[in-house]
Amino acid sequence: MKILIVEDELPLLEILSDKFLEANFEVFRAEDGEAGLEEALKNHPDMILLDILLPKMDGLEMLGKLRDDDWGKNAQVILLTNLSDSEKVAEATKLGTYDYLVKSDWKLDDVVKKVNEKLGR
Amino acid sequence: MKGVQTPFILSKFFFPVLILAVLGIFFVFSFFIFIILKDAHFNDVSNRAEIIATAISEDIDAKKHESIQQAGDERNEIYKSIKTLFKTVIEFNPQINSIYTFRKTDTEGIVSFVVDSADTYDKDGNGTIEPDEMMASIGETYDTAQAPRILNALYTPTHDDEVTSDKWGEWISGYAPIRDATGKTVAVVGVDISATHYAEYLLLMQKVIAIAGAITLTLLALFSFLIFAQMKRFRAYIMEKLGEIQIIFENAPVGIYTILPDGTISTFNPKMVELSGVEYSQKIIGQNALKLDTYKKAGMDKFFKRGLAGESFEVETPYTSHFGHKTTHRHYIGTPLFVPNTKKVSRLLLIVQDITKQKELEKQNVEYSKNLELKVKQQTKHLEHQLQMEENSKKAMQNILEDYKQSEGSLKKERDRANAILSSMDEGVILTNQENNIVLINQAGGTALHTAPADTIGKKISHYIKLEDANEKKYNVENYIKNVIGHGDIARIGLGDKLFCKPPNNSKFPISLLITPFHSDGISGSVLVFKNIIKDKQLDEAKSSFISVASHQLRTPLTSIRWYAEMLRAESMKNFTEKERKYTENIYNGALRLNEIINLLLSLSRIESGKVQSKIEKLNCSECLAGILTQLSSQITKKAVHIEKEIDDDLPAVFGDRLQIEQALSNLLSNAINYSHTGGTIKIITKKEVGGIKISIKDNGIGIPTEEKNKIFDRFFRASNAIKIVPNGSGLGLTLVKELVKSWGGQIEFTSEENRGSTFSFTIPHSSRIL
Repeated sequence: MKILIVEDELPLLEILSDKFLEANFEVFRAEDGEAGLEEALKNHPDMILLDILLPKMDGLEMLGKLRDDDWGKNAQVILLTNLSDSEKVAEATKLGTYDYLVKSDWKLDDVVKKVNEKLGR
Repeated sequence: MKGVQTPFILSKFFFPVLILAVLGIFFVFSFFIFIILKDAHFNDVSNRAEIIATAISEDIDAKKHESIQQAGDERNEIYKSIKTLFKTVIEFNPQINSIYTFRKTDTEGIVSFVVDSADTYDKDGNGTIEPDEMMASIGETYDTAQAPRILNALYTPTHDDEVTSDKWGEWISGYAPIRDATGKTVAVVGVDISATHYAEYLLLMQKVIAIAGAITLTLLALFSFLIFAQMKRFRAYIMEKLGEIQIIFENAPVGIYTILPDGTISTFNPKMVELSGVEYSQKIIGQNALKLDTYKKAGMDKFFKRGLAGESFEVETPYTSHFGHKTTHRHYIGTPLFVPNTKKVSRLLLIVQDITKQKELEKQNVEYSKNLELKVKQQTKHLEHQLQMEENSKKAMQNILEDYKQSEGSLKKERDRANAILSSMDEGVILTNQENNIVLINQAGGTALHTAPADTIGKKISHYIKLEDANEKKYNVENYIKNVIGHGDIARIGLGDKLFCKPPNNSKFPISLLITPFHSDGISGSVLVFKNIIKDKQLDEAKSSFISVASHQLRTPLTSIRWYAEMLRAESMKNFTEKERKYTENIYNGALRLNEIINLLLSLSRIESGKVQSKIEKLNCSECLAGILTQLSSQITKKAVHIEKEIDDDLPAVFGDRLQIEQALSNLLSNAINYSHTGGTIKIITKKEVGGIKISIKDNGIGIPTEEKNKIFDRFFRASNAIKIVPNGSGLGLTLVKELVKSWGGQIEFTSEENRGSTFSFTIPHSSRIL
């Protein structure tokens, strides 16, 4: 299973990558929205863990662009963010996300469980 | 008549007439005296004339007389002697005017010789009148028509030797015959004595008397005429007055009659006839009033006697008439009429009035007065009583007034204070009446609405507070007011709803509006507190931004710590030492705690800044409870507490945000579990209440110390006994519960007793109050 993690916080990116690698995922990484979009369109991951506050292109813009793509419009996305902005959440929901998780409230294990649940693993 | 004023002036004529009459009488008397004197004098003079004439006739005989008629010397001598004789007589008798002779014929007398006293003679007897002149008189003839007296004297037999006298004009003539030898009268000697000679004073008096008498008589005539005229007028006046009196007498509405001094009734007017009941007045006229029984019975005879004695009287008496035997009340006025200028009573005038009706009225009046007096007394008592009560009321009023004045002063102070508060407020405050007209607005309100406060008074609130949302959809503020007044609740509009106000000058601004119903003296209205929240919005946005950023910025490293700790923890199970595992565990737990605190703080911040987005849905509280209990199942098991539920059967559904309600329930249940003793009991009671439901969480745990109860909802506060049980609590749980409950318009309360347990309750209304 392929998973793309788009996260600008390097420590979080590292630990998430490690965790999902442990969980036998092929992990793709991006540190900004542009790279994330590129990776997504290139690698067609089974799941995208997407942060919202990203440099160059924020998560929602990337999501929007992703949805414009034929493949991207059906891509599975879980927003993984610490942002409490309800407007952004609503906007993201409109664009179509599987879930919205507040990173600080979730254990890594639970995040992995969530992804597996969605992917049917 | 005494006292009658007449227009006449008889009295003024009285003395003049009297005097004139006296004078007239005097003059008449004098006149007659004078006539007598004059006659006497005339007789005297006549006698003298006769005597002189006789004397001369004795001296002149027929022959001498004959001689003087003829011319010749003989005549002249005789003539001279006769002339001398005549002159001498005249000298000695100056009153003699002339002496002459008449020759007698059958039909006439011819002057044959004349000597006038007018002649002026010298001592020689020569007169100034020439003999021719004198002689001119001689021969004058007098016929009977001219000189009837002389001829009468010549031809009429006379008495006393045929000597006679006559007065004619101013002359008194004495005549003596001259006889011839046969005794036949052939001539007459005449002696004219002037009447003016006799008694000058008598003549003067005669003139005076004549003139005075004439004047007197004229005046008397004049006055007599005037008096006659006056008398005529007076008579007419008297007749007129008598006529009037007669009319009055006949038509007077009172009885009038008179009694003569002997008591005889002399007059009786028709009204009196009517009063007496007689058929006609003649039936009573002539009767003696002093003797009539009817008057005696009435006691009037005594009064009549008094009146006839000259004393006026006025009396009221009952009277039974002789005719008809009718008893009436009569009012008598008796006035004696006196003979003018005497004290003698000519008659007694009586005026009688039937006062029977007046008496009856008087009687009624007396009765009425008595009743009135009684009523007045009663009313007076009543009024006195009322007055007393009024006095008391007045005192009370004065007290109230003093109190009012005091309170007015206080009220003024309060009003001034209120005005000061309103003036100093940043929020606009508007008070509306039942008709939604603005009755009060503060300065901040006017500023926010870009209008002078005074201009808004009396105008509709909807004219100034025009609400619309971000899509320019309009909302009528009066509908909100109506809801508020109808429900009796406060309404908050705008804070989270992006509502705008568009006042008349078109400057739209974001508004936060609080509407409160207002009741005073039965009048309903509303109080609107509003604010241009552009700055608040900006602040909110800044807060939101801060909260977002802060939450993100805090959480991101925390997430890092937590996840790395999680990974380390997982690793530690395999390869770490006991100490390393313990350290890792502490790092992990610390991260969890910090996360919890940050979440709680962020939640509180959102609630306090109104940034909480509520998702309102119909909820079943039992389901919520079940969910929470499931979440806390491990905690429950660990503490071995026993959960009891008391849930009303017909518990209604409520509308609210599931997450918020679950959060509140979770916090309270978590506290109850944490602060219960092991094996304790927690009771969950859910009851239906007016307007919603009430959920109570009751434990029998450690309770809250009394002196710490008032701080139990303070941020970060932890009761001293709680710290011993759960050292790592955040102290934010109850604060969050309170804010959550407040946000949905509920109430939170608690009771607690140290070492016996606590009961925390909150209410959830049927519907959310957030519009």
